[in-house]
Amino acid sequence: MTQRLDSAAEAVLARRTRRLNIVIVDDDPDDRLLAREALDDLAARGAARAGNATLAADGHALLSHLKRAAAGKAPWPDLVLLDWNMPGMNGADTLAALKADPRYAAIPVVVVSTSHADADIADAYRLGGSAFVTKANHFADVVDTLGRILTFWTGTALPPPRHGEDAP
Amino acid sequence: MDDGSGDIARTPRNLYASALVLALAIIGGMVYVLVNGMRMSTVHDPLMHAALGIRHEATLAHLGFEEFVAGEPNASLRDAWDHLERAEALAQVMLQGGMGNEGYVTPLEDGKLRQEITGVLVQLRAFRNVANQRLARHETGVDGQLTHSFHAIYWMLTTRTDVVRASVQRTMEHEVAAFHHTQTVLIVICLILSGIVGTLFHRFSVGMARTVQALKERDEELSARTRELEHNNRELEQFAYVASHDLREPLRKIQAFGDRLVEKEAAHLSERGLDYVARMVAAAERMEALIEGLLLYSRCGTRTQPFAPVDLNRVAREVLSDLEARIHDTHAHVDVGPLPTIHADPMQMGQLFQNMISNALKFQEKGTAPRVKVRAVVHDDSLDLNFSDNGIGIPEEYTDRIFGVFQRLHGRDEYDGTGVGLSICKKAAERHGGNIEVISAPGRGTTFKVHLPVRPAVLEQAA
Repeated sequence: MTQRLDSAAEAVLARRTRRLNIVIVDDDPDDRLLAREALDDLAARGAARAGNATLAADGHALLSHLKRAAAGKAPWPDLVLLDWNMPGMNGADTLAALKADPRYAAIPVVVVSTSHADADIADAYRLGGSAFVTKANHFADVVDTLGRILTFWTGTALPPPRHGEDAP
Repeated sequence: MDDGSGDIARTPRNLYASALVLALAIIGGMVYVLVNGMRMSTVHDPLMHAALGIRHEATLAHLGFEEFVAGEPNASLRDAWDHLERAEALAQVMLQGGMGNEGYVTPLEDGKLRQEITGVLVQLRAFRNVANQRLARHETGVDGQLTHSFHAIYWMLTTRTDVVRASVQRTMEHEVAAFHHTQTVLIVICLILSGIVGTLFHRFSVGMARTVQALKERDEELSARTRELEHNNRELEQFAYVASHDLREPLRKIQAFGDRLVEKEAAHLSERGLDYVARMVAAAERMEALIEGLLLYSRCGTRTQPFAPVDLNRVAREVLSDLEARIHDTHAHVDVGPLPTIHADPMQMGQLFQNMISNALKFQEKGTAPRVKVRAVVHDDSLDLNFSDNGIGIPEEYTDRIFGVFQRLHGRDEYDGTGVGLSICKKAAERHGGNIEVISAPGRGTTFKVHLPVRPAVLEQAA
């Protein structure tokens, strides 16, 4: 009994220190390039390090990545950074689709946007977003924001168990 | 449409006037008929009968005396005298009034007729005398002279009576004719007036229907316009939103890749090249501030909050706390007098105070400590908010221009800003039905008088 509890606590603690698999969803190739460079920058400075980082160009790409992850063909994402303003299937549609599927509903989604309109912020939280972050203008700020997000979801918050982990 | 509503305004007055005239005509006609009818039966009729009575009685008296003189066996002298007396009494009544043979007799008014009847009365007396003398001589034999004057007097008497009777009858016929005439006129007048009233009423109801129709149409037009305006407003909102996102996106890239260029490729760039990049990035930053300002300005018109009681003291406190760093850095002194609570848009009041006070702090001679005064002057039905400073002032020729969007009077290296603040203030004042007045001269400070026509009922002087 005690043994089991300990091992459960250890598993949770392990989650706190492991590198997070992240998916960055953004239709803008410039932003994807900046995100990639920011991740590299963070890794180079040893500030915060993501596990597997996947870049998706739209909501469909994210959903197919999740499907593959559920099938065990891709690393399970611990965190999704979702651009709000995208053509076609936008951030809101994508977030709603993700939260509607019980397999993915627990994955924290940080909404990223250039907009800081109240309506967007409220919508993002209402649809199940875990945070709403404004896109930074300067590269240094982009790196800083990304670093803070990663640090929060590893050092401060407890991320949910990965697919299959919560099975007894 | 316009003549229709004009008719409506005019017609009821005409309608009321015509109805009044109609009613007066009917009442007048009725009074006339009543008075005339009464005169006919109370004045003329008894007079006629009295005149006829005189003739009748005189004739009976004459006949009675004749029969007696002729020696008729059952002739009564007594009756003859009675008839004569009754004739005299009737003549008397026609002159002085009293009960006649057919009811009360009103005395004759006409002077000539009165003379005639007086004549009749005199003749009756003479007839009595002659009849007496004739009866006295009767035993001694017939006096031809007396008999002659007996008949002559009787004849004159009846002639005179006939004159009076005929005259009264003529008067009566005249009046009857006039009565009929008046009646016809009255009926015609009534018919004409009824026609006018009817026409006016018809025009009134037609005009009324047209006005109602016009109002309905205008109402529909208005609600269609309102819908269109609401639609436009939503579209504008959408446009502002899209502008905020899509216009900013490229700017972010200029800034971000500008940073990358300086950071990663600095070794390959000359000092001049680095300066170019720095200027480029700074320009992108300004562009972003402009877009932000434009958004603020457009939201000021579309994203309005409903009016609510706003304690301006609190608004001022919050703005001063936001500006605390700048007040501290510039060693400014901001003096806010007691302010009322008013019925207003809370957010716009915040924007108004924010822009007014920050402008007062900003536009200062270098090295001068800003002194800002905020005062409220409460009038019966309005409120003046005065924001005064000891700043650089505004040349008079520019006082109109400063409220335009993106209007700036100074170079960027002197005073930065987007030129949106005052245009937002103006919009906010206008939404509250007010305006902003500028009192300023270069080097002598500026006072902005924000005039707000707020209702005195919601004006409470804050303690």
